[in-house]
Amino acid sequence: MNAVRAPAIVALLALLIGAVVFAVDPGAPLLADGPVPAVAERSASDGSADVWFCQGPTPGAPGVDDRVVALTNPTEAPVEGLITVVDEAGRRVGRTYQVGAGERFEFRPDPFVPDGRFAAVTVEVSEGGLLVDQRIVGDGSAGRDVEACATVTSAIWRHPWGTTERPGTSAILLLHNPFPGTAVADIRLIGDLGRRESLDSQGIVVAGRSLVAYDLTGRIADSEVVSAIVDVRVGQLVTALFQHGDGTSPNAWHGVDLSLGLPGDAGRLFLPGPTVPGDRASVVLLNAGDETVDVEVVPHPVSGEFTVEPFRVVLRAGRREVLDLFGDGRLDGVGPFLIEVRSLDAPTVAASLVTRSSLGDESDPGDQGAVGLDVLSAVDHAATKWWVRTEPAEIGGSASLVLFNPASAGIAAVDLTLLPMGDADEVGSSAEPLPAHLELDPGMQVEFALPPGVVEVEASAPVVVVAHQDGPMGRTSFVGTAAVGTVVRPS
Amino acid sequence: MDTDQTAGRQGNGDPSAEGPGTTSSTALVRLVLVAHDPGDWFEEVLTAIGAQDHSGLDVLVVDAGRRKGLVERVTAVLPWAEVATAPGDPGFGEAANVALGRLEGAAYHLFLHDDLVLDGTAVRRMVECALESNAGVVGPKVLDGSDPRHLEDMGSWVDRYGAAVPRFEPGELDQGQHDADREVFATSESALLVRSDLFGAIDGFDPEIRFLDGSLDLCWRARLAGASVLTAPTAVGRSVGGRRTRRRRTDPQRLRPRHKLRTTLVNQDPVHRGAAVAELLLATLLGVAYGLLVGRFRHVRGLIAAWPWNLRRLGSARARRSTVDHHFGGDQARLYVRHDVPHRSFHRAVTGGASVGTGSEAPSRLRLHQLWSALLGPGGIALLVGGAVLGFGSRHLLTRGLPDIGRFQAVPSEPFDLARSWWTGWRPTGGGIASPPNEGMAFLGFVGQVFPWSGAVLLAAAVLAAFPVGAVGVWRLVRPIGGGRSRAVAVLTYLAVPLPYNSLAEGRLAPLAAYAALPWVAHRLAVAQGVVPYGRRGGDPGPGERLGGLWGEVLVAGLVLAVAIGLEPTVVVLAGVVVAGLVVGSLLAGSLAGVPRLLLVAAGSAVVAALLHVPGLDRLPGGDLVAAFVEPGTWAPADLGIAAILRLDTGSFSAGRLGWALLVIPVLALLTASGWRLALVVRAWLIAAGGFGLAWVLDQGLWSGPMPAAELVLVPAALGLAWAAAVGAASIGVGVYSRAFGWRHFLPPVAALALLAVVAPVVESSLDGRWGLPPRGLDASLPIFGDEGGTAYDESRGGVGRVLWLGEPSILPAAGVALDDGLAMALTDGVPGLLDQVPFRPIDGPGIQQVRTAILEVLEGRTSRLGMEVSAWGVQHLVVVERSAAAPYAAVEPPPPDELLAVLTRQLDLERVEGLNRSVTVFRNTVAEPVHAVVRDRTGSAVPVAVDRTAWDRVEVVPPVDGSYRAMVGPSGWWRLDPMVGSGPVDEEVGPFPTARIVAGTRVAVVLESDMTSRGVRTRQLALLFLVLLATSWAHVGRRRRRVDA
Repeated sequence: MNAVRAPAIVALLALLIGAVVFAVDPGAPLLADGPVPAVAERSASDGSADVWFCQGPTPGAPGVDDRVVALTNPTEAPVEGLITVVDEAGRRVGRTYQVGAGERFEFRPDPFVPDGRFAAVTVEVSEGGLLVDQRIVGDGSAGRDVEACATVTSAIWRHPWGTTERPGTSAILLLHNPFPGTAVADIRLIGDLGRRESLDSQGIVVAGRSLVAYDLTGRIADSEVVSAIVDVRVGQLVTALFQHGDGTSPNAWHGVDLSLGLPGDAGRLFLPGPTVPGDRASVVLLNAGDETVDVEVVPHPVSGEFTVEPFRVVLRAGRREVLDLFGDGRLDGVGPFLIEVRSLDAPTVAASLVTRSSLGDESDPGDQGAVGLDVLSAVDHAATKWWVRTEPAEIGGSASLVLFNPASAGIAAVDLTLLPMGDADEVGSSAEPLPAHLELDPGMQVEFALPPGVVEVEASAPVVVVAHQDGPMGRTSFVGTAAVGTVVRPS
Repeated sequence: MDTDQTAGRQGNGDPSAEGPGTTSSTALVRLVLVAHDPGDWFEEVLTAIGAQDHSGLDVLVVDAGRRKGLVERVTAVLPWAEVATAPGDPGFGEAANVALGRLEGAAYHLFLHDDLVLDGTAVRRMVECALESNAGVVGPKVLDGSDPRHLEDMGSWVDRYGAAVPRFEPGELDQGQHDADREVFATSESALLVRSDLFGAIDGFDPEIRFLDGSLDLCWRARLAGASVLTAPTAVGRSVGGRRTRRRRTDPQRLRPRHKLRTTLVNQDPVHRGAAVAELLLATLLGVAYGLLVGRFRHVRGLIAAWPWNLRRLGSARARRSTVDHHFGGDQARLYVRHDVPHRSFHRAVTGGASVGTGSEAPSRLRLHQLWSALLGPGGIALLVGGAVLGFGSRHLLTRGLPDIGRFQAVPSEPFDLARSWWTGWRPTGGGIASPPNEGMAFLGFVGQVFPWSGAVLLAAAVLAAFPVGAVGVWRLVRPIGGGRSRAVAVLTYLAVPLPYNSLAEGRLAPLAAYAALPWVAHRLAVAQGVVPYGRRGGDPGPGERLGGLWGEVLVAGLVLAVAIGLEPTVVVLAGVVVAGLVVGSLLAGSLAGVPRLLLVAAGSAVVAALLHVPGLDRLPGGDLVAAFVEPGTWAPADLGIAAILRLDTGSFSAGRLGWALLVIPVLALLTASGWRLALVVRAWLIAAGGFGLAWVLDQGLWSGPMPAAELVLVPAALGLAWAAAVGAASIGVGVYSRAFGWRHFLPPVAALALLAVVAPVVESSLDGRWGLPPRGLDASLPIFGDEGGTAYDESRGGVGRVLWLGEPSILPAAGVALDDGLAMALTDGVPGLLDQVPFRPIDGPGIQQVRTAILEVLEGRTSRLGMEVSAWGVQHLVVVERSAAAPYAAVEPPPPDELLAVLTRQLDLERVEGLNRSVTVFRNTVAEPVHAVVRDRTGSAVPVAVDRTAWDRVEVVPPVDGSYRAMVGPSGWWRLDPMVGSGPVDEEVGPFPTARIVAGTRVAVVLESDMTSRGVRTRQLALLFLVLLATSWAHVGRRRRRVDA
């Protein structure tokens, strides 16, 4: 039998060469980055379940007069679910609820757990559609805080700023484990004298479906700034740092604040610049990693006429730095600006913006200064869809909405809608109308008056939405609630 | 009877005319030549008679034929011979009995067939022998007329059923080896010299025995009468005119059964006769069944016809028996015991096999000799060495069992459950699915019933059997190519590829099954193409090949393919690669010879295999076909790369750069082979290229469906390389040393070094006795299940709790269904077992479907209470598997699905179990419900019932409280309540929704609905298998075939 060799060799070589030439590059990334979680995300009423976690003080806690959890249903269908309230003593009470279409349901956690000083509320929404936030009012109407509740749990939480100054301040770290399994957390505290760890801050057991109130004031007393790093060894938690100041401390902290913290470290973070001229504002930077990082805090003035030199900070491992934005005067007169925090090394940075009203007359001991303590955690994400719910501003107060486009390129076309709610008398009563449409250049920030009610923000490119409320009873800022699936890290 | 005296005995100078019988000093022999319409050779027979040197020979020719003109033919040669006519077409015996009336005047009668040419001294030698030994009967040595070097007949012995047993093998050369032993039971059939008085005393031939065995019967009676029977080795004759057995009237398949019974009835003593007849009756029954099975219908007819034939002749048998009794004087027991081997005699009686091999030439012993000869050649030594290395390397696995990794999970405590599941078409996996295990599993269940050792050893033996089965398959595949050297190279190459070892390390069954089965499939396809050396196209077939007809090939190839599919359905795709490789390879080699036949056989075999897998076919319309047979897998793009693919380097068992040595001999073969060897090596390379190409396509991410294992798709490549290596070994050294010194002289040592490099890693890996497998598998990570499954898995209270397994598909301890990229889930009743290892689709059961939907919702963040979503299906634990074995043992550790653990941790009703090995993360479902429960009317709570499993398909339950019975066992309609005595009127389907109300304490049975199961389908499948086997047997046994011996 005769056979030929050449065609087979040619064919096999051709196959081999073709396989080499047309092979994909194994190093080329083929998969897009996964979804980025926001602290508070809301599902539309499409059947997806949401679980909201709201922890905070009850009127039994020092300096707290009231706490209200609000469930707002801006959809056209009623929403049902389950509320579970647990206090730091382990008492747990569950109730079902229903919120009618376009209605709001408010409740106070303290009647569920009458003896608890702190209470964590878990709101299960079986089919989405609900917005959940809470309002804390300081004792004697001194201070207030409004925050959207969290929808995320994490094994990492960062609280860059807290204070245990004596006298007149208290800081309580709330560790909420909403799951059946036990969680074990390690807490590292960084005070004025450096890192502070003790045996009782390591291996803190948070039983399933329980709340632990970890008092920082007693453990690292009289520290002007206390940063808390929470690493959860087992399970996941939701943490919040409750801060109260009666104005008698050296820095005259006066008011209440509940800060959710950051569920992780990041390499790029964004903050809106302080909105009230003359206020004191600091950016607190925290490096929870094991390596020293170079950090730049870059102010982006809205006005294109100014260019501001970035603040450069070298952060050693496990250290924090408080940066007084207006201390060196480089931001004087630049007007509104957006703050970008970026690590030039490992992405292990967390940041918060701390603002308060100007101090009163320091020579007058009786002048405790204006009420106002506001801590806003920086965000590493942006979204194309947001919701913000606010209540009518108090007399003499104001509410505003800050939108900024954190991207370095690309205009964001933004549509704003005030959703119709049942309590029509509270909706849209702002003196200034809400703009229906606007465009944001990259790195730009815009602020305008926020009417009460639920505002829906829809943008063509990811933006960040922050609400401010300021008034005689204090000030508060909070990041809006993002829509599930629209959250990304800015380019 | 009319007689004609054709001529006197006067001499005329012509020896043939004068005749030899002119003197009376020697014993007068009357030669009785019985002629049945002889052919052209008859004159030669007559001439030889005329040329005999015996002095006293009288010739009587009996014309027992139908044609005219015999007298003239005799007269022309032996004008002095007497011719008698036997009317009525008598047989040999009746015609020869004409001598009974003419016994006077002759001391001996020589009865001769019309096709035996005697040597000139034959008659004299026989007479001398008879006189010397005082023998009653003497026969000649008969040689093959077409080749006188071979023996044809030299007398025979007889077995216990009256069958003649020749003293030598067919085709045996005459070297005087049997001359010394002259005593026989019966002389040659063609000629026998009988003392005249003895012939008269025993009443001559039995007239009822027309042809064949007449000599045997006569000799038997002669011995009974006390005469001895001898063969005179110096008296030689040649058989002419073709073998008698080919003539229709002497068809042994028709005549031998009746003659055996006749001689038994007549010649056996009363003690042995009854037993012999009873045994013959049993042999007839078995023989009929055997004949029907193998398509030997003439054998069947002969067996059946023997009985009425003998019953009609019982009278004559009795008459002859009285004659025998009258002259009885011999020791009957001695007659046949000498060479009687009862089981072999019975085997011959059943199969109608040739009467050979009662002595040292026994067929089984000959086969054993052949086997030893083969094993002691290079190919056999390669097999033995391979077996030794494999046995040594597997010693701990064989003695201690396989670790529980991947698909290697425990055989059920009742192994036959594997077969029961196959029979009913229902499996408990996935909450109960209508998806049976494959035939391989069912077969394992049958074997497990009789396997003397533990299930762990059974599983290890079954898994490791892939090595010898694959090696023997390759050994057979390459046998026609050349000598033992090529077989050795092929076997060693195939055993040394990393694929099976990586499959072992990863706990994969499918690649091992394909590794074992594909060589056998490829062999049938190569034979189907029929190109040299697998057929006659292009040259002479190689040794060991049996050439069959088209339909026979279709049936055999179909059966082999069906068996392979029974082991692993994806072999179909690999067989397609082999077919494509053969076709394209033939095209590139420049000849399309045999391709149409190959395609025809391939298509036909596919049809046959499809018919034999009807239950699998009914899954085709359900969609998601690939998922039904291929378990989900992960294969990151460019994970392997071209270099690893070409080295077949798919996992931890890697030879590194030495792996390139695998290609050396096949490449040399491609470069140096010529003729049909080149054509074959091109085909082999194209098969390998098909395997490589398939792996490349998957590696590039060009296929979006379920990803088979890399080891599976590369099996054709391994086969092609081994095949090409065999050709290389056969061709590289051919004629090298007869040429002038040149580059070709370096090829053999290069090939030897390459083979050494290929084999060395395997030998090295065999030292640990486990092929790198860890001593413990995933079970070491899961103490929560305990030895007996723990309290959560105690079936007696609410049924066996279920475990939801999540992770990368290949490391899950059960076959799963795909969830997302790189993620799959499996649902098992407690600890996973072998029944959970066969792929299935989500649509095969409601449980797996609903649980999968729940998991997808979790992954999409659409629920925060997964435990509640899956609780109704009795899910007690969720286990995220992150390693194939417990840490710190070596294991496959795919990148964990990041988001999975996060989303599970966020579930509000799952409690993570702490303190476990890092290979798993376990969540306890805090709201789990029992599988079997009664739902209380008021509270709606599910209360577990007492469960007593009485059979595979029957469970008896006793509820502790009143309520509606609910069983979370799928699929819907497959299980129903069966009313028991005193248990009230319940006869309903059971399922997820509470149905029948049951009073507390009532014992009710839950049974697998027979109408829903696949019992009917399986029955048809077995019937089809039987028919195909029957047809295959008929096609192969009934056909004339040629075997080319090695």
